[in-house]
Amino acid sequence: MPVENFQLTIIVFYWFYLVVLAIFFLFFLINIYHLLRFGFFSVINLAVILTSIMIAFLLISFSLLILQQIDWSQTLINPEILNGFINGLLGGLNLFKFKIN
Amino acid sequence: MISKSFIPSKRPGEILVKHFWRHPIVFIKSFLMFVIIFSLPLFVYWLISNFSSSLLEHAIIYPLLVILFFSYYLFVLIFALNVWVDNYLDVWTLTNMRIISRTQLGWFNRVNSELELSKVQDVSVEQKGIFPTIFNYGNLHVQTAGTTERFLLRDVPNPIKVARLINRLYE
Repeated sequence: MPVENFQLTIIVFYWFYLVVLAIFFLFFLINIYHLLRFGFFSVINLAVILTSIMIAFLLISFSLLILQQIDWSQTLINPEILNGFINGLLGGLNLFKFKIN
Repeated sequence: MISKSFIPSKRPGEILVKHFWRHPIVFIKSFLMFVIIFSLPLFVYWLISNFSSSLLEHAIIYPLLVILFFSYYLFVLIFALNVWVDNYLDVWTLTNMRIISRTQLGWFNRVNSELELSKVQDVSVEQKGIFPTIFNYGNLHVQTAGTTERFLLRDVPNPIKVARLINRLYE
């Protein structure tokens, strides 16, 4: 990717949310596994498992529905400042150029 | 899932008398805590919409708030489920031969212990505080012969009835 065209958009929030979702799924499955593996076959245990799956499903689908309506192309940081910073960082040799009179 | 008649490492002639869980009031305490945790973002939303509603139209802050809002609720759900797993999977099983305690100490961490009814010397009940007295639950201490260690069953419903039941079984 050319450094000049690099623009940090608010899509990073979306990526962050995807990471949160991945962690959520992991922890959620561990909890459900414990209830299925060690819990008694009872109405209350089944109700807790089904209710939590339903809440998780509703929460995630509702969140994705709202997130779909957001314009993720909005830049997060002024691109000129960021480009200057990245150019300075990656093309750092320019920073140390000495003037020879 | 485990059958309700399940006895861990069942012996010949062993009969299940009863399974015990913590009293439901223990869950209600946690439930009240979750009501507060659940209503916090709604309160923040109310504050923002009333005192700084322009934030909800901001091109960057609004998506950030939405992400934080849903991330918070997903973690609250995990936390609630975790509290349930930790409490619900603590089970005490009383049979005609043993008291078996199965305690969940977090994920992938279970402690199973058992006590022979033939070694029981004394059973005592502790009901301390307003809630245990009103809702009739408490701790049950079972003392065995030859050791100073006591077997502790926490927040058992009807502890006096359970103590009588254990007394009747070992006598």
